[in-house]
Amino acid sequence: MAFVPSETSHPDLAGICRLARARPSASHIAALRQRIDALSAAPSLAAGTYHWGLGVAEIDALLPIVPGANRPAAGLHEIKPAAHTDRTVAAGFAAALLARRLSADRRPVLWAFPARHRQEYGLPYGPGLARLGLAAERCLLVETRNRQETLWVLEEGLKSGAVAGVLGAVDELDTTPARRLVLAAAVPCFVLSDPARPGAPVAHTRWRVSSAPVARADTMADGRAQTSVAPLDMRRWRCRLVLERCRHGTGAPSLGAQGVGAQMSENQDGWLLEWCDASFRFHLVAALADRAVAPRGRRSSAANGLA
Amino acid sequence: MLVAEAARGVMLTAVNGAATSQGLRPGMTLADARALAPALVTRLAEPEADARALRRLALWCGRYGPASALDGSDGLCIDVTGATHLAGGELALIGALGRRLARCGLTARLGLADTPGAAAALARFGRRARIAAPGATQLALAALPVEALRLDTAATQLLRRLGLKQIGELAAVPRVSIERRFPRHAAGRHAAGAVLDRLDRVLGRSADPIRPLLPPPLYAVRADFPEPLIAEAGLQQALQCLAEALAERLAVAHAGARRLALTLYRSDASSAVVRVGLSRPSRSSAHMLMLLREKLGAIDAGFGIELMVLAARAVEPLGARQEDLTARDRPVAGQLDSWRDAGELIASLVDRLAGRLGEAAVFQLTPVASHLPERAQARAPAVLQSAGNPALWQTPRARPPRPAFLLDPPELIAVVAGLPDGPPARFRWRRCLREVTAAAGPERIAPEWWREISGPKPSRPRDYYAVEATDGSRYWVFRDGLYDRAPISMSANGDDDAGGVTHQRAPTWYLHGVFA
Repeated sequence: MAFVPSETSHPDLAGICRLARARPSASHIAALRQRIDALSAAPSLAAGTYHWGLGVAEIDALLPIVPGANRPAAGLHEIKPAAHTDRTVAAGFAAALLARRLSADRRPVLWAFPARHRQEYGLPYGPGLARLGLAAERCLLVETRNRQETLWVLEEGLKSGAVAGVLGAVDELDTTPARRLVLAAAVPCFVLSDPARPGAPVAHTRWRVSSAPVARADTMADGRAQTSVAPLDMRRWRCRLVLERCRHGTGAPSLGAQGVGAQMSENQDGWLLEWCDASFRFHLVAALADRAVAPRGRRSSAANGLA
Repeated sequence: MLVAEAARGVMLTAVNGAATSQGLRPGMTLADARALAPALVTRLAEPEADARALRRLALWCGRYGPASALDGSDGLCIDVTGATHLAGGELALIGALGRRLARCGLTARLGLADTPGAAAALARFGRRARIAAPGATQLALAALPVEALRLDTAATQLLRRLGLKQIGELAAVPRVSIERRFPRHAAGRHAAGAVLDRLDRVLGRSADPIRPLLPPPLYAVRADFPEPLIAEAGLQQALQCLAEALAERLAVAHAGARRLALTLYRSDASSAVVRVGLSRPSRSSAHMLMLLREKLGAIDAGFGIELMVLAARAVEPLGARQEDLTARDRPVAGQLDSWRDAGELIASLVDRLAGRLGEAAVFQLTPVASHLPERAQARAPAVLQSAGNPALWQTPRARPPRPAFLLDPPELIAVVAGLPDGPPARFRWRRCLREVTAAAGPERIAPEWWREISGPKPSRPRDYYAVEATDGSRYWVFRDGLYDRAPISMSANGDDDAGGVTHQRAPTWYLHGVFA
């Protein structure tokens, strides 16, 4: 570097001066880049920071990434409930994903749903969304009349560059509208669709979400049948997640060119995720979580919430 | 002939030229008229439809001048100050307007003068000279009868009895003499003052403003076409020129438009208006074009559009903004230019969505300070940009969590639960029976008594339970009312009983929301 600024009392400038005197190396340049990103208004592009993801390392490793950069690609992600009664769980899961976008970006998020959706499940409720981490004042809601309008709203939101992520409740996603969304998507686009309809073939990922009980079922500790209503711990809830399709996913190094096919066969039952209110994150729950014996291994802080 | 019911029977309200030549006059009873002219064709008069048509005509006459107003029930007053040169002069204006009205099938008498009153007098009572030269109003009106001043009948009769039959004679008499001729009591003095005031206004000695139908917009640009345009491509091109011209005008005045109105005047004397609202003041011609283009396609051009006027109806101050040398029309998706305000992008997105779906369809949730769950949030159109106080969203940690989706109104469910305040063990919602494995609660939410002091019936306190079914889905149910407790009410509830026994309905269960 030709120009070496003099010592000043400004902390960042002092750090830059210290860096300037040393020999510039790759790690120094990376650190400088991080500092510039932190100072500027542009969202952070530093390596290793996920733009969107569940926050669960095993699942995030399988997401499709941008070639050349180590971050997940924005694209079209379809979230399907496993059954009709799981629709709200799928919507909550999608809202939690949107909330993670809010933490990485300054822009608001867009949520479009048809009027039929509102009549069936009601409006999104602010205090409930705040529990998922989705700040209602940074959320722009659009109520449309039919599917075409919802798709148009999603496309407009993606093309404007003004939002950090879009979520749309579209019951069926045809190929042509899905392709348009994929082309326009510079930020992640999440689509909630019907469980009965076939999924769009051009979506980058397809998730199937179903609700999972937290409370113990059927038997109590001493073998008697559970008849009365047990107390419920509301600070956590669970869902079962199956990644049905992942296009261009090259996260795990053990996978070859065919993608996650090999990985998925081990996970037909999906992952059991638990949402923890205190940390606003999902955690993986092992299969033995509810048993009396405390398991080891991939258990995370979900143990704190168990009775 | 138009007839209408009146106190003395069916009377004529309007007659055409042929009837006038036979001696029929408005105000004549139908029986007399039939006696004079047996072959009479009559229709029922519709004053409301006439008024509406007159209003439309007044709006259409906006092409001749900045302001137009109704003048009585059968006349229009158009202010053409400074606009006569556009039609080629005063005589050409009168001629063109007369020809246009004749083509529409209306017989009209026109008058042009310095003041509205003088113009009305010339139009209604003038015989030959229809245009009063500027400054020569008194000369032009001198020969007209005093009825042209449109005073009330008592004053007109008094003036006639005094021998003042023409406006010129009235104007020549000194004012004090006029006042002395009227009766001495208060009503007489008031009448004298009215006569003199009216004379001053007609002759231009005092101001006589008309109240126009549409307030003249400060920022308006217009485009005249020599031939009526029908093709949409031509209209879009003209709209682009208009938008750029309006943006320049707004830039000079450091203002931004909040509401735009594009008026299209067709060649058959009708007009169409396209209105657009913006969430933020803007003078970007591209943004205005984008919003207006979609709605322009829905306008029917009829026989052709002759004139387009783009006006900014509501304007707010907007400071100058530092432009980036490398600014693009649309940002490259995904990158946020640090120079560009993120709020502007949001505002333009909101405008686009609201322009197509309606302002109420694009909204934000705003918190309301209320502990009743259904009243704790409100829908605010995003165009108004009122986000409310975000701190109100924070539920205290001690409060049980709220569902992600709230049903409005709560739905009735059938519940099997333990009495008096046990959680539901089983419930049926939308024809599905769900078994409950775990429940949290009860959370008591009392009604807001301060809102129901004078209400018809007080609401009951609710006990909220969060329940989880066997498949893991969670619901928020509540029981409306309590068992074996007298209702807590502030108003007199026992109007149907005696002796202090209050009848209350059994508590009912509702489902209020679904958890994620």
